[in-house]
Amino acid sequence: MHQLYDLATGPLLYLSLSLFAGGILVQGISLIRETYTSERFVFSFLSVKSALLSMVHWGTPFGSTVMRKNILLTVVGFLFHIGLLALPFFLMAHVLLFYEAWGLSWPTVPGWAADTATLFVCIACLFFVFRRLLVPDIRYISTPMDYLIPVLILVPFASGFWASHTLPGFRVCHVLHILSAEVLLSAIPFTRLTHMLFGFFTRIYTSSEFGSTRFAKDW
Amino acid sequence: MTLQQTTLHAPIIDEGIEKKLSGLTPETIRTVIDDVLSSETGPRLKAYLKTCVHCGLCSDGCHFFLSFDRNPRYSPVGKIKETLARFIHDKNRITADVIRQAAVIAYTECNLCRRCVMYCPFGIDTAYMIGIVRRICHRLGVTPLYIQDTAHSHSAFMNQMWVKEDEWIDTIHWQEEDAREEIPDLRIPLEKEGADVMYSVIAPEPRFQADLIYKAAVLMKRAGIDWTLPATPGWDNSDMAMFSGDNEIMGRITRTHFEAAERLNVKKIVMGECGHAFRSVYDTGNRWLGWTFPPIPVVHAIEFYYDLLKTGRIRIREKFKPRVTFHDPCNIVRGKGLHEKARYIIAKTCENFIEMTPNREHNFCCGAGGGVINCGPPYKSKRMQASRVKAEQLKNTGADVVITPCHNCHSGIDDILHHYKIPMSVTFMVDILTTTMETNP
Ligand code: SF4
Ligand code: SF4
Repeated sequence: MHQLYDLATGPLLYLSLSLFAGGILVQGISLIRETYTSERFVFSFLSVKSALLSMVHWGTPFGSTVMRKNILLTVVGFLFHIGLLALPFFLMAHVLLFYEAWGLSWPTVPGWAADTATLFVCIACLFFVFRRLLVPDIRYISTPMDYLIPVLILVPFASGFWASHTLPGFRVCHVLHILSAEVLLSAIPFTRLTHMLFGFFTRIYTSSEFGSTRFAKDW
Repeated sequence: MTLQQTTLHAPIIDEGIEKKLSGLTPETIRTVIDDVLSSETGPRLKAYLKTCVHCGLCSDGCHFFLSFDRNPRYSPVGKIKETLARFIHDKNRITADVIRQAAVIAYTECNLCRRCVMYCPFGIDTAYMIGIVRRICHRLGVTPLYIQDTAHSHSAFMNQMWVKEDEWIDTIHWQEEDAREEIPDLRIPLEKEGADVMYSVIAPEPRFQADLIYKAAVLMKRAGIDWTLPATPGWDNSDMAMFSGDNEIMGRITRTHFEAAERLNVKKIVMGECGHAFRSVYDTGNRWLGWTFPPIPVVHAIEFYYDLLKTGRIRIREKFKPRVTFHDPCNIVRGKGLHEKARYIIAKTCENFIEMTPNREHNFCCGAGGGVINCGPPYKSKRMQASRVKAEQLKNTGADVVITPCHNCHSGIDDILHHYKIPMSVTFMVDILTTTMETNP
């Protein structure tokens, strides 16, 4: 177990971080470069104003029509994304790690809030899986990967919760937590999780076209 | 209010689609797909495909999906799954049957209306992707018979309806003669170099709706506009090649249109009340030619009427009394944001206006757009089924008249009103303007 722990917090950590950062960087840069060489017209339609306006709408809960039509999904979706992105940075245990590594520290979320948020992220993952299984038009388009991704997210959050509460088997869970988080991180550039990056590109282009060429709202 | 859905009858056999299919092998199909994907698409498509998280939020944007009782096959992302995504992932297993199904989906089950784009959190443009499927089908020679006939007409005659040059000129003279009974000194100036405005129409006008040219002439006369029509190709601004996937002909059409304006040395082009034509000239065809924005100002009829009213060049004598509603055509609303200008015109000309819900950018497509109506009678029954939500939306207004400044919408809505027995009539904006404006400004 110790060896595995050392492996997970040593070489594997660096591997996953480089896969994540390298993957995102390479994909992002090559998208921009390819756009420049083969679809340069895209740049002539870009509009900062329209893109920002649209992003404010889509970044605000219920700021777009489709969000108002899907109230539950909007609430779950927003809270899930906030939890997913914020928890890793603001958990006491994680901030301690940053402090130990680089001597940096910042405010943390209180324990009860962290617990609630973690459990919420886990429930949201299950919600997404069940939504896929139960709503016919979503089941129709779902691939095995679509079911796997929420599980990839669920494991590090659930095991982290388990380990932090020193429940039975917490040592195993701790290692599982680190390993699964590394898998998740490495998967981002190579699965549909890339929407985290490409979603901005597509939104910027569409909202520019809508807002400044076609003078219509896209939310 | 939920209207009764009719069921689809016998399977549709479309000769245009069937003719080429028998000769297609998976190898030929693969070559064409790869060629289109590698030489005609790029990072934009890649980003759309990679970003889509299969969340299904776009489903509610599509009137096909809603009208067919939320059948997953008709959701925007469902259509991509059965077509483009399959083309990409199924490597060498794309058979003629897959192409047949893809052609049916791309040409007859998507109006390229872009409504779903507003429902996707990432702004993924499904209409653009369905356009690529059409392009592949076109390159394989698999296109519905009727729309292909229209594309042939464009290619041979540079207009949509096989109108010969002398027929066009004759029609103009005939309309001028008729209009002179109302206004004795009215002219429909053909080939007037240096006029302020070149007016262009779609070929169905001289073929079936010549009175619209008459009405445009009356409006121009009353407003005192220095205008002209070309006598040569370029008078027709319509473009079905854009929808059949024949980008080369699309480019020729838009170029001919611009060149006519250039030759006549006009200040701007005013296009009649058509949406798809505007999409071609302002957007798709124009871009194919390499322009970001058209090389000569292009104005849709709605913008033109708005300016005439705003500047007082035409004044309204008496407002139109019946209850009217307005159908926002996709190609000039999601395509140019003319919804408020249209409402200004209505406020000036009509006494009783009832908004339909949803409206403006969120209006439902008429079901005819994107070349779907041009795929002809074989698909009419399906088109009517797909328009159920549109029919309900129209019926719920309780209006007597629906105004829509687009030929496709006009025909599509006319079919819907008959099919669903809705007691409403459909009209163009110019009809309202010419009946309400002052005759001696
Ligand atoms: S473009 Fe219109 S018709 Fe096509 S999938 Fe989207 S909403 Fe449906
Ligand atoms: S809404 Fe966008 S991301 Fe979601 S399934 Fe549709 S196209 Fe894909």
